Amino acid sequence: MQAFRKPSARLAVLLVAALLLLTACGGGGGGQSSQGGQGGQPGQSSQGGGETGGGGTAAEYKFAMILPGTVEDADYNFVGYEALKDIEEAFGMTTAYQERVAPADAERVARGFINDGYNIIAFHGGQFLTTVTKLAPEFPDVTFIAETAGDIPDLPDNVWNIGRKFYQGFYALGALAAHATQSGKIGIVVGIELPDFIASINAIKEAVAAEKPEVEVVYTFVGDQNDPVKARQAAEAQINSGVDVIILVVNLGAFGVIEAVQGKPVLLTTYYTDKSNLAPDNFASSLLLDFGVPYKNVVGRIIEGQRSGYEEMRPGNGMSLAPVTNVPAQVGQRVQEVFDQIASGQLQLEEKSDAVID
Amino acid sequence: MEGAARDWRWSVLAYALALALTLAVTTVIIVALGHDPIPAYRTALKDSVGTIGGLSQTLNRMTPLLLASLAFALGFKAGAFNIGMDGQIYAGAILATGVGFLLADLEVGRIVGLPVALLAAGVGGALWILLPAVMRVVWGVNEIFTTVMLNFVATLLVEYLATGPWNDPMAGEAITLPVPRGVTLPMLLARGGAHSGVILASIVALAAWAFLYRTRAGYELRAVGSNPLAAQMAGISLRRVHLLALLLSGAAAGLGGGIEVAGVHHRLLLGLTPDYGIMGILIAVLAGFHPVLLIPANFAFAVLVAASDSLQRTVGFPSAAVFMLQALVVIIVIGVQALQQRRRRFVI
Repeated sequence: MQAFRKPSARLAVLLVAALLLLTACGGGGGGQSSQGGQGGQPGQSSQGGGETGGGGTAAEYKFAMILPGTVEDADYNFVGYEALKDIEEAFGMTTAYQERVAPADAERVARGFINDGYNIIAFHGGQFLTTVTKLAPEFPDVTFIAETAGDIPDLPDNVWNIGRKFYQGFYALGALAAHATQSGKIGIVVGIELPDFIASINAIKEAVAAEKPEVEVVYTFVGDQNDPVKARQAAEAQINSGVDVIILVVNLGAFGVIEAVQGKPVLLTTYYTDKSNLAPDNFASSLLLDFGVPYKNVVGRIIEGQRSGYEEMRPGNGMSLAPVTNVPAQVGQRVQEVFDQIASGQLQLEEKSDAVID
Repeated sequence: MEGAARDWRWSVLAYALALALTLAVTTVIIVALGHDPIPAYRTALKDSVGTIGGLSQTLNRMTPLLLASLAFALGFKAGAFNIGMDGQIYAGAILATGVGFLLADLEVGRIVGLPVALLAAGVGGALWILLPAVMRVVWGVNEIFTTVMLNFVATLLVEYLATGPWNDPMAGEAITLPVPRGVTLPMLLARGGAHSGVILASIVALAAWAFLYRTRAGYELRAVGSNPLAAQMAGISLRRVHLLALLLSGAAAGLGGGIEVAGVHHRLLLGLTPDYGIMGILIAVLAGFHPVLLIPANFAFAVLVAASDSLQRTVGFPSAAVFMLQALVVIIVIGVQALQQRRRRFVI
């Protein structure tokens, strides 16, 4: 302990403690409301599974959601929070949530909710999958909801699986970019190289090839979904190379790109929420993700007694397009047509997530 | 003797004041949120230690923190500052996961697979700190900078593995396929979900104490940390001691990463260590860097974390305030100890 008498040692520790304080004082993103787009038909994309007991009432259920980040991020966690509020409003159910839950803490938090009587536990993120598969057999009277990239086989009988098919929505944005570009070159700024995002890039390229094959597509992985500086740098590099439409596949990183394009003749799209009020002259559209739609479908089924199943979140079922702006009207019409074709199943898309196809 | 008793009293004062102030601040926040603090505290205690489930999760939370704080303490005892525990945790987790995948093909049972994976985790942590350790002993490069920078490298390496060759494509996140059952830890309290890693971590802490206070090498390590010049004059090799201390430090942290894979997640993922390194430093300070005292200190800290989570659920306690409380505890303890030191100078 004598070494700790050194001023440098104490200073180091005080700095660490101060760092913790500053971390706590740091806030999340500004409040942005998600625009409700076209809702899907309830139950359109859900497949029945497991046991179906007798139907109950909403009053028998308490719904809790576990979120990896802050609900004030105006992005992924915010839309999860919105879904929770939708459930509360639609079913009159008691709801609760806990934000900033690291995967290491998810089990403890979930057990806490279960101890408090919550019998539907939703995990807003695929990183919690292990926690779900671990807890579900131990708590057969609780229904768990997991979000993943697709239909996971062999899940326990009390787990609902929401599969998010981002790539289908990004196909429509690819069509939009293909028709909107004046320079003939569009860019994609992506965070980390996950199969979900690889599939989205491939879908965008496929859309461009189908709508306007002469348009060039470039993409950049910045390595972080939430770094505005990295995203901005990537966007600026693309703009300098001639890109005039950028499709963003980043989360909080989007705010850096939005700053970069203001005042320039560059169009943007984002996803999760509509951020067009930050740069009204630069937004072409956004892929809006309303998790309330699949969640309400799932919770409705749970109340009816269906304890497990697969619900796909896709265009027409939780995914919609924000109003198309800053492009000619016929471009907007064409994009909506493409989106509706995907939603109806008329246009079938293959998910290519192994590698970006150049 | 009288001095030691006085010191003891000051230490008790420090911790009592920290606890009192923390409770006071928490109570003010709860009341401001419009809730009765007594039922909230009662629920918080129940959720952290009052039920098998609560106690189990507290023990699970305690385990990586214990090893991270032990890692810092071991380095500190020799006068070295290992700030790279998060990176070493990741390095240990990477090796444990990789070994797990390798052993899957060999179909070895847990009796072989688990020790091999955990040993690999310790080796992983030691290897991750090897470069900073060598740079320190050979060229005198401050290990604070080198260990911190390697944290970023480790995070990126985990991201590469968890999104690339080891990725579970169905998860949709930076998370690997699950490791085989043969490298998972047996449960300690199956009903509550507590794995047996806490026993292993506690044994390692006790072993560290025995090493430091019952072996010659441990004595030399403490001597170097207390007074490097005197130790050198006595013929102790500073280079050898610093290298050993840092390698042991890295190994302890790496083992923490392996236990997180084998006991909690059964996968490697980004976010496996939610700042265990920083927390470990604070807890090491609170425990006076003593390996045995780290055990109750980490348990108390884990209770604090679990109780804070419970308050979030029951009264809407702000998640950010949890970090503030943790920092407040440490600042108060250090402040009182600093006051004690200052007071000593004026006592003849």
